[in-house]
Amino acid sequence: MQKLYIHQAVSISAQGFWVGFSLPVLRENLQRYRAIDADYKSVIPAMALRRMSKITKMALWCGLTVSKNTGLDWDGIIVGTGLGNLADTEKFLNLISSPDLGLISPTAFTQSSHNTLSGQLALQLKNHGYNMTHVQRNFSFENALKDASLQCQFGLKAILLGAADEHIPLLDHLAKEAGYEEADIDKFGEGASFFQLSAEQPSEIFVRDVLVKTAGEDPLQSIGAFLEKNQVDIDSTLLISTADTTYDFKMKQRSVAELAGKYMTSSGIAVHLACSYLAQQDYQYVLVWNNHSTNGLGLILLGHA
Amino acid sequence: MTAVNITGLGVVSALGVGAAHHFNQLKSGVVGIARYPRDEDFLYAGKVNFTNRQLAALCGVQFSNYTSRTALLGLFAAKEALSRIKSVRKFPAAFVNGATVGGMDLSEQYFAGKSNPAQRDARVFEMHDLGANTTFIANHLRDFQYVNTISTACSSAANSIMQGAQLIRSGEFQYVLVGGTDALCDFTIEGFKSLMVYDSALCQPFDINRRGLNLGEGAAYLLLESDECIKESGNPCLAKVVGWANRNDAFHNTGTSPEGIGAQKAMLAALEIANLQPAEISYINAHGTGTLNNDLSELAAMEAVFEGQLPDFSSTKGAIGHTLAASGAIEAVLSITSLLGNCAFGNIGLTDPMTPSQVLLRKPKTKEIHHVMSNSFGFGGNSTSLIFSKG
Amino acid sequence: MGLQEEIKKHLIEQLNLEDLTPGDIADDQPLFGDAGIGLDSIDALEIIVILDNQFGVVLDNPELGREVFKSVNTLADYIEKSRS
Repeated sequence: MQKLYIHQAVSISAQGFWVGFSLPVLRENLQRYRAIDADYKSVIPAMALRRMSKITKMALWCGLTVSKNTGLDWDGIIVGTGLGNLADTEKFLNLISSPDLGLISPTAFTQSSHNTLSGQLALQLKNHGYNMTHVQRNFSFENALKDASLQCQFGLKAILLGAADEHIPLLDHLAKEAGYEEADIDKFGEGASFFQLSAEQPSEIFVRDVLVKTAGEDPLQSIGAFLEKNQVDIDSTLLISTADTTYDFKMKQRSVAELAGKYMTSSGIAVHLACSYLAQQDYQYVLVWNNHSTNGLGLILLGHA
Repeated sequence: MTAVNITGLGVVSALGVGAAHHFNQLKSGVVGIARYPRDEDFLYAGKVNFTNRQLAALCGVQFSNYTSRTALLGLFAAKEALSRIKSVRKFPAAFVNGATVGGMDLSEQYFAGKSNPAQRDARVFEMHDLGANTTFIANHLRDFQYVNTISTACSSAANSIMQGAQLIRSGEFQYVLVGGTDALCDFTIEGFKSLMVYDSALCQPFDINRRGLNLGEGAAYLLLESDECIKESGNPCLAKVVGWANRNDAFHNTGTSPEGIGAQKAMLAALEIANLQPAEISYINAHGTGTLNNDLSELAAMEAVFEGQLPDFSSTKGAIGHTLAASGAIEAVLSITSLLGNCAFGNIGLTDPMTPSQVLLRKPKTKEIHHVMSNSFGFGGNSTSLIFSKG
Repeated sequence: MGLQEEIKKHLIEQLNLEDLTPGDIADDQPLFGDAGIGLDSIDALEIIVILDNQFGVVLDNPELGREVFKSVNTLADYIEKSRS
């Protein structure tokens, strides 16, 4: 895989907003995982902001903040989202299900497309480059990352890569009906994470390799093989998982679920957290393990130069 | 540098099943769009002539109220694409699927039943998300090392084909199934009606009097193999994907710029990848939805790229409707059949063409086609151009 | 409430003009384009919905829209004409 350098990261989550690799004090022992709104007005023009639901606001705030800080004209904008614009989808579904069907307001429909995030970013930045949205459940961010690597092989230099997912109350309701435990439902989170990537311009932090397996496999074995393939020493590696785990990998490990909750693309914020550890040079490598599902896994290996 | 060889084609739409069948229907100018009853009224749509039960039976899967129509259409077309070819186990396989509707046809039932709690069944959301539909299709086909869903509105499947081509060209994969699927549903019908772009009559792409689009549904897949893979499989190369590009219009969330900037950039970039001059394109299968906005932008974009020397072009949406995410793949298959059958398709529905030039084909035209371009433009300014050449 | 005020109230609500109050919109101020409030084509559709759902007035001909939607005053004129 084409090595990708990470130059910038911005995230929004239950932790508030993170800009850069140096993080504020982490908020621990959270009960709920709603993302704390940033000052969206400061970055997103009012006439665009007024139509946006939370997922779009979060993604735009992060993406535009990265863009403002770099001043680059992106060759590509690539986004991953697991469930897309849920609030707008629900809103439009309610509108069309209403018994008195007068004329229907179009705004929610126009905002409900999965590629609203990448599309709105291009619109606000007047960016004409490559623009892609990946929607593959828990691996939407991993697939977006792989796409970034692929595009760099075809000559793209500066890439804005991101992920976002939002929570709506309906999710809790459906989960309850589906038999989820209250404790698991409380862990549902939301957030957005965006990064400046380059294959050419080096930086201290890079993505070395990405692996997605869609069939159930022993995580111990998969992780062991992945690290061996990349000749990575387990002792200098931190493991960050997207969900809590009882596995013991004989590595220092933490879960991002206790910080940001669980959402399909939370491997995005796990990567941001990884960047902060690497920037502090606490570890030479960080392995982000997407373990949301028992059916397959995602692995992102990041390193420090 | 390996070629991107197309060895399998599968398609289902309002015109029926199979690439050869679609070619014959289009050559004969058949219209698959028909009146589709809704409440006490009707609208024009390109519906696939199979119920979900029939699709399930044809796919050899058990029927379930919780399997989305999008997934069934997709599986049906995917199986069709893989049916006449020799499978390859030597190389790991990839699957890239384009979708936007996903399981919305089921999810909207939940909302429809909201007034009656007894009718609300949370299980209908099991296949709501797009990835779930792709995974369903993948699981019923074979092992895939890489499975992905691209969702960029109407250019989704075209982008899936592009990603597949890149995976092969880069050497990362030798064997990739690509395409897209979308089913008709209330959400999209009401959505386009709310935008006042759903034509209450039969749509007329590239006509001065055009009033909007008619939606359609369907699915199509192409099997792509590298040169090394084709040596192994022995599958004949039907055509090649030689050019691809994705760019953004960045003008408006749903509308396109009057000059069609995104479309221009995509077409030019695809030509560059294909190492072709505009004059070498024999036929363009246009996006041509029939909306006032798209057809104006698209014609302007084509005129700019081809510098007034437009090749023969037409929209096939007058025959099958706008199949949303599937359109990029269905129309790719149609473009390939035009290549193989040396026939550029007529633009159905023309009474007052937007241009007097005969390149806007009033009827099918038999001609030698070497390189065909297929364009797809979606919400969010997403613009994709693909070029196919004879094998 | 006068008709103009009522129109402004609905515009602000339906078009999510969160930062504006009715006092911020002059009766004859251009609604569309950069010189005005900055509404766009989607807003035009939303205004058609407002006219229908709130005022029972149908805009049959979208071409008329350009003139009718110029300002709060032209909207009020159209509503009054249609009602009589």
